[in-house]
Amino acid sequence: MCASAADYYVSPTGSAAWASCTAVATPCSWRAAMANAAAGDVVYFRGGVYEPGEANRFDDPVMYPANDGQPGQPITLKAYPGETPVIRDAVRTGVVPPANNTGPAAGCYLNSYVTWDGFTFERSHDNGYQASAIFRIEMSDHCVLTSSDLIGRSHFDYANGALIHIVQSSYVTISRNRLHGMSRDPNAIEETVNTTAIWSFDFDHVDIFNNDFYDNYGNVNTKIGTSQLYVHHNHFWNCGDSAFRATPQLAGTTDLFVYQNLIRNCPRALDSPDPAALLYNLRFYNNTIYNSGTGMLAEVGSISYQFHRNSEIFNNIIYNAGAGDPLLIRYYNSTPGQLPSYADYNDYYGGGHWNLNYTTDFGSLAAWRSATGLDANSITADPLFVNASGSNPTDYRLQSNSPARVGRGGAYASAMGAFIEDTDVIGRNTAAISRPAPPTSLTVE
Amino acid sequence: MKRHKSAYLGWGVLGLLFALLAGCGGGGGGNTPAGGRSTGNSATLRWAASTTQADGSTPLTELNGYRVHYGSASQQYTHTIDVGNVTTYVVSDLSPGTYYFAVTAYNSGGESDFSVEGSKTIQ
Repeated sequence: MCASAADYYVSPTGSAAWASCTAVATPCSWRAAMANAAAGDVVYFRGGVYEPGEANRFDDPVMYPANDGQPGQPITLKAYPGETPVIRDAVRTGVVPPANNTGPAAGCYLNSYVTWDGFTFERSHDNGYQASAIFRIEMSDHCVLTSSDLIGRSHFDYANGALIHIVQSSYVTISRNRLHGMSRDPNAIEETVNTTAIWSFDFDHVDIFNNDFYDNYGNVNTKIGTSQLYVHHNHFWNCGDSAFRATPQLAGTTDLFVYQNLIRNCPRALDSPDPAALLYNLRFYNNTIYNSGTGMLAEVGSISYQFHRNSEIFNNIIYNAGAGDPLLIRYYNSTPGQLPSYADYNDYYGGGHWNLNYTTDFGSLAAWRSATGLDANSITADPLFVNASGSNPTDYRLQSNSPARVGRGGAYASAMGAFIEDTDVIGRNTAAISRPAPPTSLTVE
Repeated sequence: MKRHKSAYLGWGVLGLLFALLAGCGGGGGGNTPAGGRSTGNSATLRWAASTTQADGSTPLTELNGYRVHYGSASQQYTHTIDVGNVTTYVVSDLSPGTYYFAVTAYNSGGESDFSVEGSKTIQ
């Protein structure tokens, strides 16, 4: 068992010995905190800018605890109440190409039970380099990033520039953060579909919820050998490309659950292209997709002969508020035996078309239903949002007489869209979270 | 199985032992969760979980943990420990004297008021 657990204080200019920084007045440096914080400790970071210095590699974070937390006793690194610690990306010098590229500033590396809470992370120095991120979780378990602001910038160079990388890790939580500004430079030197807020591979049990994603090129991008990914109650808007993208590539991917997200003005809400390996058990359900543009809204399929297995697409509202004839949904490389195993109770509203294999368009739900055998109970009715075109998640609640108040039922909701209940919290709406009442019945023995 | 820490380094049992030892640096006093070390100069606190928001009636949808506060004078808490999401905790290695304890709950919306106060005298 641990000998102690205590509160410590860190500031950008702190220099006290570790034993002395249990007092606010004598903070120590972040380096002392990373070297000494142990299970159960809470390290408060005072406001100000923390420059982690030079990164040794493009992939390992500079700031991570040397020790581990334990179940019920994580190492907690958090903002001092009322203040904002800002952590900037780590500069890698003397590396070409390009000069002044960056590596991850902070994260978890070979860690267990570490929580980062309330920071601002800025990609402030350059465009980044291949596989660089501002926050990286690597070979760790029970790493939590919460209530933080991750700010990207236009990404020019190679693939995989991101705000967060999750690599070879288990039981990761990303919640109540803002992730924004990870955009792609229009003159980027390659088609960087992996320029994204979260880029991840080879993990299990990752929970991403109640975050705001906006002004990013991609948003949640997972690939290569992942399982048990839960993406829910997030608010995505103004994407350059997809809100959620799964590319199994070299190793199979299984059990991806994407539900109760609000996705506004993203060319692709769901994109699962090009797997060279199988994708099993994708559940995409109870999402509200609102688009005033003309791009694709959802695309599910494979260019190989290994179409996804046991995919289910249901209880979604796909609302086209734009002009023209946008693609509502496409399944490709989809012979009848390779279609999703279940797709129903979706509301396709506002016009548009369905497509199979890039070759065959369907202009009506009836024609689509007849050709695929899917969407038997789906509709094309106005879902009657409380305030369609609004920018607040609650604008997309359903009115009491909404025709979308039907659904798959059983273990799932009998309603379409992200708001199953009016009390659902979608996105980083902390204003909707009230503080608790105090504990009761305290006894001391 | 994914290549997270233990598997990646091939630690196995050795890795677990190392984590238990190396993960507990810092030295000093001795506060432990209930079920851990508890001695005669310790105080065991138990409380009922917060289940409502601060208004006392709306069901609580998020709870991130609790903090134990204590000090040597009533309502003057000079020590705070973030104990995580548990409802029992042992504050140990207390010097002789009377200690006053209270607990707060917290989530992303903020921290609760103090619970009712409890006390214990360490001989």
